Amino acid sequence: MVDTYAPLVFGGMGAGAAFVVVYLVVPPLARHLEARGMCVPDVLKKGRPPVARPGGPAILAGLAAGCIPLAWHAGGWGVPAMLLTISAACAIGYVDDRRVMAGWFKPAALCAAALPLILAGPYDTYLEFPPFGAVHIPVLYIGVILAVVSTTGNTINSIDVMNGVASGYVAMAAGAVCIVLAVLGRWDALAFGAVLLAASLAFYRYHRLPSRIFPGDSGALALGVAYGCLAIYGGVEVVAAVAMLPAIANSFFFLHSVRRIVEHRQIGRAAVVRDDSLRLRDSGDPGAPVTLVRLILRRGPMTEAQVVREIFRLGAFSAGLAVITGLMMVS
Amino acid sequence: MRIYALLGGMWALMILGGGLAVMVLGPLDFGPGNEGLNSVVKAVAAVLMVALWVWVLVRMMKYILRR
Repeated sequence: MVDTYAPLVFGGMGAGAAFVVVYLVVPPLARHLEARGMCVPDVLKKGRPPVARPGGPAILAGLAAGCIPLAWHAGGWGVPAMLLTISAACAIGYVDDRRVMAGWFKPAALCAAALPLILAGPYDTYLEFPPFGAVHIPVLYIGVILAVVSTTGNTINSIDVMNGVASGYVAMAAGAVCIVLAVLGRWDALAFGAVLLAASLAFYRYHRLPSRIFPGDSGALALGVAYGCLAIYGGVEVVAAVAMLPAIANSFFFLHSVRRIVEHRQIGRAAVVRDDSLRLRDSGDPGAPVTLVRLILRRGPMTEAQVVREIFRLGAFSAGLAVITGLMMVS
Repeated sequence: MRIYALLGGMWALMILGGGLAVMVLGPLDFGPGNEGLNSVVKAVAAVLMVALWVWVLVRMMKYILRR
């Protein structure tokens, strides 16, 4: 029983610490960013009001605070290695927040950021495919780690298109993965999942419509890579991928339509336009990238809140599929 | 509704691909001393399966856009 309760107690402490730190750090961080003029216009709002960016440092602080009890409980280098990888991802995003880098920069840099996780991360080299079982891929698993870290970071970053989407979506996906980890009895990973869930929920409080702060690339990459670390730590890579299906589809549509790895800010054509009544609609431009939002708007013009709700509905649907997938792992 | 069908299709393809990986690719063994060949064949097969997954997704995406 101690094996069960100890990670849950430390996980609860970690989740509490992560929530409180993000909740308390965001308001002064937003004021600091506003005072220094580090704001970007919220282009989907009337008058394009400036919003503070990036909130990544607050998210990283929360995750770090939450990981302290976990590292103390688990011992070894596993949790610190994950935190190092998340910190590196946040730093990469911060560089991109300050100046727009080439499209290849983030995927390549995130592969480098995965190095601590590869060297000292808490994982085994079995890849589970529910309900069929697992394959042992001792060498290829390094490629899986690189793919997971790079993909989760970039897909969460690419779905960070409207108020509250990135943080709300990660909270939803992490919640689904936590349910699966609880069913499988993987308590240490569940504790880390609780930390990520708490940090994303606390940030969502300020990121939701109308946003007080944007996570920026630093925040989106930190959340995405932390989610990737959770998938690897828990040995639930496929379940985590299923929970992310709408974000993966969004990245896939984008890449397929622009046919190259490019920063979305560098695309000159608008996929979505806003009319005078503040409703969003598909631009109809065949040269603009195809995105999940654009597909949603095929049904007709919507407000930003309606689009966000639709993305969350798709997220909830995928989270349900992820839980079903996880239940298939129970033997 | 079509986006939900697309996500459901992606999910089904992932489960199916996993089944192929575990039932067919996993047990693949070219005998002692051929561990390298085993890994290369499995990696190439995995990449081909991902390519097939992407191809199916493109067809589904184009179908949604056409409608």
